[in-house]
Amino acid sequence: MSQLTLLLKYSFKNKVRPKKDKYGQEKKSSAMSGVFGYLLPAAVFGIFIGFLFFMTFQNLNIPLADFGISSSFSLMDIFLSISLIGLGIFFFISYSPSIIVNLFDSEMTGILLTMPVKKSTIFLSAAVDSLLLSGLSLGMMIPLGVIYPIIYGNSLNLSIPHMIFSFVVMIISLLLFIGILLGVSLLGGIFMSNFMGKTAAKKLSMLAYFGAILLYVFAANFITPDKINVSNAEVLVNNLKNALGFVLSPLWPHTHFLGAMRGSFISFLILVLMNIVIYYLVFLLTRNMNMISTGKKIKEKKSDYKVSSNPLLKKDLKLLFRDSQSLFLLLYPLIFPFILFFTGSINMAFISIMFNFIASFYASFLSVMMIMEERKIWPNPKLYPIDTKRLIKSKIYIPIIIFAGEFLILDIVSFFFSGFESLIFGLIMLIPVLIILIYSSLVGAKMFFKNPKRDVKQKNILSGKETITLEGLSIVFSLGIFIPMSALSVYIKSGPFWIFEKMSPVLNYLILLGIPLLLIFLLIYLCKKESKELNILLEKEE
Amino acid sequence: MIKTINLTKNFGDFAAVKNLNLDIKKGEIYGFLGPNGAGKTTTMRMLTGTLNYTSGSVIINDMDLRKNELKLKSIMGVVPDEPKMYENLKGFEFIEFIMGIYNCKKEETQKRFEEICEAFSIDFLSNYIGDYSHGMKQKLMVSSVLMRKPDVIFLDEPTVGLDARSAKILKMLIEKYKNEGSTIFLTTHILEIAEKMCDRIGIINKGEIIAEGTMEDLKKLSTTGQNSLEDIFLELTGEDEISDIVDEI
Repeated sequence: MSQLTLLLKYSFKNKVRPKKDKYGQEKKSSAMSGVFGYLLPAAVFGIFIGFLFFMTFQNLNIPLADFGISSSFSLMDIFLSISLIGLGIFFFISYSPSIIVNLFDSEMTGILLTMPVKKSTIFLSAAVDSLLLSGLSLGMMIPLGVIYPIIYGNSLNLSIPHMIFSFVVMIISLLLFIGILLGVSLLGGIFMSNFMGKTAAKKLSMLAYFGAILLYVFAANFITPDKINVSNAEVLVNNLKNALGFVLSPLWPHTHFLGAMRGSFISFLILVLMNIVIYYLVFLLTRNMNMISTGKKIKEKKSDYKVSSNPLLKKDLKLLFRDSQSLFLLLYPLIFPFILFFTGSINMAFISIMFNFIASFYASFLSVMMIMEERKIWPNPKLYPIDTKRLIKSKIYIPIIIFAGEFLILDIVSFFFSGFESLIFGLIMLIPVLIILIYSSLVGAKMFFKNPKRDVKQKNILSGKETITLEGLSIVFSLGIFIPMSALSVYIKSGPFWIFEKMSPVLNYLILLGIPLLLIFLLIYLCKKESKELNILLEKEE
Repeated sequence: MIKTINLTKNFGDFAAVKNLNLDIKKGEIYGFLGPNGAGKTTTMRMLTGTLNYTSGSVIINDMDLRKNELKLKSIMGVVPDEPKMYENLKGFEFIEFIMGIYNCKKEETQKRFEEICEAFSIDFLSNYIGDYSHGMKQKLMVSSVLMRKPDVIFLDEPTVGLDARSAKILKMLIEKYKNEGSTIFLTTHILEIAEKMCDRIGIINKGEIIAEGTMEDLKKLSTTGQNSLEDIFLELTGEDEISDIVDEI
């Protein structure tokens, strides 16, 4: 255990970003601050999702017997089971490969293997380390486990001591259930290490991460109390009646988790036994586990080489689309408005604001991620017979062009939902959209080069302060331009409204057209300034 | 072919390279030796345009590097000290990228690359570079440089990570390219390679050239009559008391 603590301590210490004090000296915080840095967003996210689940499930605590189904479970159990199965599968497919990535990617693994450290300890330290980065679906599961006893306990009207005892049992059951999920994922990781290389594991891990976030986005937009209410619960139960045997089958660990939380001692015992068996297997299998990537060899295909006329662009696009996180950032600004379209929000002005806010923030992030790809192999890209400024600036323009294309797609789609007016509004808005995108990408790139010595292995390239600044700029400029512009379109269409009724038409136009124009001119000036400053930073770059 | 005039690089107060003057002829293999931290990689980075120099000048093929950086980079081939490549590209995609970025003649370059691949037993081009071992990466990096047949080749520890067969092939290829007119600037810690392959050797220590010439010239510099490059190197770099240090441990 002490070896595991030691490995984790230095692993966490390695994750802490050095901070500069007021004298410009770099200072490293403690290992625990690094852990809290990772856990804090998950905790905030967990509380938020907990409220969402509570609102969704509190009205669904209706015994299935009330619907004429002979079962001791409730409607809430069915929905909870579906959620737990989905989240459990996502956790497994994201966590298992991430352990492999962590093991194979770490330069320390090879060194640790030569030291008198147990293989199971090395494996567990990599597993705990990965948990901090891929615990999103687990972060969604914990609130589910916590709100279940709250809703279930309320319905039983227990005495206070009895309630406390039940709550303790429920917490232990939750820990045992999480233990099973972790253990199964560890076994999955051990199994995958036999046939999966580092890159394949990375791709699978990122893809699952991508899927989990999309699931969250869809869940947050579709699973709301007003969409799943008691009035149509009967219909839902009828539809799920046949699936009842599947989602609450005793083969699922969550069935025993729910059983244990409802007071079944046998279910509790099964959970304990499952933990013992799984962790014994983990301990046993890690002894013979392959902890260094050997990589699966793909059969060589003799092919003709395709030399592009723009090799830099081809390479950048390949790297961009092969990284699942980048792919998510590229697609989300397009997917989110589509969700809005399907949930009934078809106002192009609102969609433009949302798109612009998300896309401008992501554009800067994508630029930085693409620059980071070059930094990973720096200074080798400086050997190419191309100007470093061109090499870097292509990373700024690629996300801008892609997002501008996405905005046009949304505009065309909005034409089918809202007609010609919406199309024209979108086309006019394309100019400010482009300018905001250019500005935020330039700011992101400049932020990066102001402090280019960043840890290339960190997922979060930009610091919290930099991220907040970018978000702030995206919000201010998006709202500052789009709210007056959409108000102007309403003004032209329906005449004066709100405070504009009391002002002269000249003043109204001066405000509604003047503010966006002023901001656009300010942005153009800032783009020039940022571009100049970036050029200076790039010239200094070695 | 490669000339430096009072080339200097300072990192703050620390002078990594001081007034370096080199004159390497076309078709020559020049070995650049020195202990760790002597300034070898810094010099190579300045010569290849990846590091700005503080003062002095670099002339390659009668052109000033600062004024003709991109033009000169297109006739250079560099195998850096670390074979870092885009991990999310497959081997053959990296080769396509290099062919494109250097504007290579496709048929000729592809033919040469395939021959080099056969020599180095490269059969992993369909795999992602991220899954390569150090040796595999080094082979790909070396091949991506040699396939272009550059006029000036810079090799920083090129045999590191290569198996004995591949290292031997590389040495033979270097000789072949030299005979065909390429100029080669080579740094290595394997003194046997330098002794056997290089026409001239320069030894750098603490940022300054302390000895330069053919093997015969270097032997003359030895005050103790040493004959092997290893002994001469240790004598010149002041590390000849190493047996005393080892005895003390």
